[in-house]
Amino acid sequence: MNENKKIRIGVVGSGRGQSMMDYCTKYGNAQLVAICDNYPPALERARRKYGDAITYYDDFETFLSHDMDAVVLANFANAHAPFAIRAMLSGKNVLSEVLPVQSMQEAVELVETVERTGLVYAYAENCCYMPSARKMREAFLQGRLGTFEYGEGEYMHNCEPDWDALTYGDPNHWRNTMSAFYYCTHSMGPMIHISGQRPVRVTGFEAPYNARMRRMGAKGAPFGVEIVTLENGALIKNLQGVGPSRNSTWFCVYGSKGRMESAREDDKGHGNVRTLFENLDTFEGENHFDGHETDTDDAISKQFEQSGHGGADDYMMYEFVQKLQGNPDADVIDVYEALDMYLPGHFAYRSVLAGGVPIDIPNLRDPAERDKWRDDATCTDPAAGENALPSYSKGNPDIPAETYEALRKKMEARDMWNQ
Amino acid sequence: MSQLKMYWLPGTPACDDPLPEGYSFSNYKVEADKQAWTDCCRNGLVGDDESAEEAFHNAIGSREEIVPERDVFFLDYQGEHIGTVTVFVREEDGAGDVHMVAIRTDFRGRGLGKYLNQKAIRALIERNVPYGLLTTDEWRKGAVKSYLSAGFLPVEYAQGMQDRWEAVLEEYGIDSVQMLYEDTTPFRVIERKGLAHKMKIGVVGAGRGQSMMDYCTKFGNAELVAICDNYAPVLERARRKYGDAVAYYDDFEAFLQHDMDAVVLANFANAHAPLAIRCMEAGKHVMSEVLPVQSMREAVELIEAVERTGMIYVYGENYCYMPAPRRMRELYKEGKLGTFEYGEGEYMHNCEPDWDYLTYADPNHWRNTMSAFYYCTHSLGPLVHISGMRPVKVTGFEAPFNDRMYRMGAKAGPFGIEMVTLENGAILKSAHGVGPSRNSVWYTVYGSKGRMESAREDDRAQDGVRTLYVNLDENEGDNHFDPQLAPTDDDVSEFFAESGHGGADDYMMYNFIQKLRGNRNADVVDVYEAMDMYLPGHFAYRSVLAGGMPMDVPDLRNLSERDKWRTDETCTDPAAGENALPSYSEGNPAIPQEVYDKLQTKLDGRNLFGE
Repeated sequence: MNENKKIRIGVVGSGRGQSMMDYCTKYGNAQLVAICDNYPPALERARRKYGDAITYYDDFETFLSHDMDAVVLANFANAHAPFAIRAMLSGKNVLSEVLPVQSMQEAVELVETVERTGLVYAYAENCCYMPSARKMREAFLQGRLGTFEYGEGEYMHNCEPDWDALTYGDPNHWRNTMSAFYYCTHSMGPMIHISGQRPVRVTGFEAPYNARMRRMGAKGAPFGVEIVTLENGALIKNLQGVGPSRNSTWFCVYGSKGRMESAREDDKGHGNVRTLFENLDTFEGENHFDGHETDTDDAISKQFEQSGHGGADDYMMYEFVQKLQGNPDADVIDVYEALDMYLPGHFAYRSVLAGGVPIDIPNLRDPAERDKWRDDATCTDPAAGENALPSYSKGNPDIPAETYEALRKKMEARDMWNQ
Repeated sequence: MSQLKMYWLPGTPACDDPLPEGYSFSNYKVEADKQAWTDCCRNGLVGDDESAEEAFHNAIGSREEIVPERDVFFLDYQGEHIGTVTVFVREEDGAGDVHMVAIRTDFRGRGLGKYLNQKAIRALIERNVPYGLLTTDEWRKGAVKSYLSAGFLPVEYAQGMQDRWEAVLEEYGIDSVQMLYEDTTPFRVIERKGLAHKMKIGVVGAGRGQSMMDYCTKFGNAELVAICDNYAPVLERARRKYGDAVAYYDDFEAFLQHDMDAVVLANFANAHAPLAIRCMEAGKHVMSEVLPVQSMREAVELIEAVERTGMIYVYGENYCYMPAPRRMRELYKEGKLGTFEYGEGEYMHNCEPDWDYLTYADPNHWRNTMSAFYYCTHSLGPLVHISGMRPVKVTGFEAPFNDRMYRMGAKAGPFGIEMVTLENGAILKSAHGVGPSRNSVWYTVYGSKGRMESAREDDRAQDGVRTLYVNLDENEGDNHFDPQLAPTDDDVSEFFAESGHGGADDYMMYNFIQKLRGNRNADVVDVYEAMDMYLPGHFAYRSVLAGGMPMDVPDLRNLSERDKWRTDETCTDPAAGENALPSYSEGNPAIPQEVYDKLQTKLDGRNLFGE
């Protein structure tokens, strides 16, 4: 491992990418060398912030020829895979923001590209690095939870207040065409990362379309639930959506020796994902019920508290850089685990479309299983043409143009790119 | 505590006694009358620190419907204002509001209130209102008595009202009076407490039944008359506690002959239905503890027995009455949550510490043979009761058998999940079991206008189901994220707080008694709703056995759906013979006798029935 090697980073997508760009400017082990964004106001804002030491690109292929070790992909969520594949084929390691892929065809290609190039692909599911999730994983790995029996993850996010800025009032924005199950890794990720197990089966439950989604111009259901079975038979409840009335980022794990969970959103007396309640036995069967708040610090947490997503973003970058410096123990999410986090959502929607039947989740570590999915380009992206599924299982709702016009006007009234 | 409310109905005989010498009526005329008005209202309706200007404005001036010159009356003595009453017509429904009735302190105790009442009633008649109303308090003794004499009738509109009025009648020596519902329709004739019929209650199952038996001894409206238990030590303990006023039976049929109005069934959870049916056939109303049935055949039989006998059947799902879910239902019914979109209920209960005495170390105890899905109404019940909707589909998920269940000698999955779809498409998650490592009694509900939920078990800064977080918008789309801790008290919570299950047990009995007394406002779970709470668990297990396929939940209100299930005796009770399913979907685990022996030893070490 070479701790002194300064990793040279290029970032695609200077909106979401700011957090990762800031990491480079804050800490000494990574150097921001290039930024790519095809939206001029965003690129300009980046230029104002990061100055002339950085090279700015509006074209990805040109950006890829810049001399750098790794690329951080913070572009559109449903467009990471093609960029990741190109980056690796150009010899660049990759940290991909959520989500990893949008179709099984992309999943197979992505896995095979990682294997073929031998480069590092890390998945930036930052919720895994949030204080409570991190500490829960540490406890589980230490054996303090015993056998993993049941877990719950929630990422409910009423996005109505911000939807105009998030979608630009564009009816075909990926956020408006994704299903209720697409954006599943914030809530699923920590469960996978804590348990270290693969999901083998999933059943999906789709909430009915509601007035909020209609106002947002979003065509999927407001939220969805996946019930996932892990390889050891343990169950996970995963709840996520952009259209419920209230927010929740929350994790809970039951093991044979007790339970750990973060604080609920409405509990103002605690700090949400920064809070961890622990209720564990020292040996199984002790049944000493003693739930209490416990501390979520570790050796490096103090440094990263201030970064985005509850300190999670800096952790994520830190571990990625560690991995690139050759640390075998770096806590990164590889491409297989990324798909373990994502596929339950993908197949939950198929479950709903098939009437709510359980669906087996393929293991793309196994080359034999890949062939079945190699040509499957099904997704809800209208650009997929005949392979496009409706965003809502009962058929896309009709949303009038006026809805999108109003959202566009609302967005324009903000002064988004001058901050 | 809600005020007492009284209505006057048109057609009530009016009294128009002549005023005594020196007295006359007048109307409000000039500004100076505000002072006189306030003087009348002091020591009862207006605080010492309020000025006349303020007091008059708060009660009279601020109400748009009131025209003081027309609506504010004075009773005068020798031209001086010494009493007042205001009568105005309410904007919202045209009812006549009898408001701010007062006699000046120095003129009280002379029986003058009667004349104010007569004036008010005359005004109500003249205004041709559909009804008149007033609110008052128990402690305004002279006033309440005079309202009753004038023909105002008590209104049943809040919990505890009937009992409060029975006490008021007792105090004034009034034998009976008609009580009305809030919509003015008749509720019933209520009697003073000394005369009022106390519901005679018999209880089967003196273990769980203690809470219900205690209700009878604590409150005045029910009388414990008989106890039945086939386990001698338990019956003996009951006899020591409740004494000779109660009759003790070890045989159910003999118990059924006892003179009683209703039976509380607190025997084995999977054995309620046959007893319930027998009770109703013997002319006794029933409150059944959880669970209502154990097979579809029992479900059909039970519903048909209720319909055939016309008796009252109430399902004792006490978790519906816990503070948070109780209040959540009220807020939902007021429209505060908007459309019901999603709900979760949890009843995770690591029973390992108590399993020896809960099962008597018997491998065939119902607790050891039930599936992970049987005991589902604690988690599902409140969600069904809050939403008022029927479940239509369910998919079940069974947790793998674990070491804890093995040690307990319990042959099922340690917990199960039901994912339920309600009739409007909303989704419910219910998670419950006796074998997880930690406990959780918890409810959360999302509507179009926000969310409400109770506090998590491990948050010791709060109080579980006694705590309610409310995070609601005034209008949908406000998206004003502002969680608040909300009070869960109501008019009767102070009386019920100490009873079992977070005060829920007394609420349950209270509402059962109110239902028996014919009160349509009684918050009870009827047999159909009981099935709405139970069937998802029953069909969730079938879902698991079918490989996790979604199952339709039948609606047994519908006669044609009953026929399909009429002879289906499938359940996990080994006594069901060829109709018995395994308790665990992958086949009952083999649990050696040593496990049960160990539990027996632990049980023997306790002194269960000597207390």
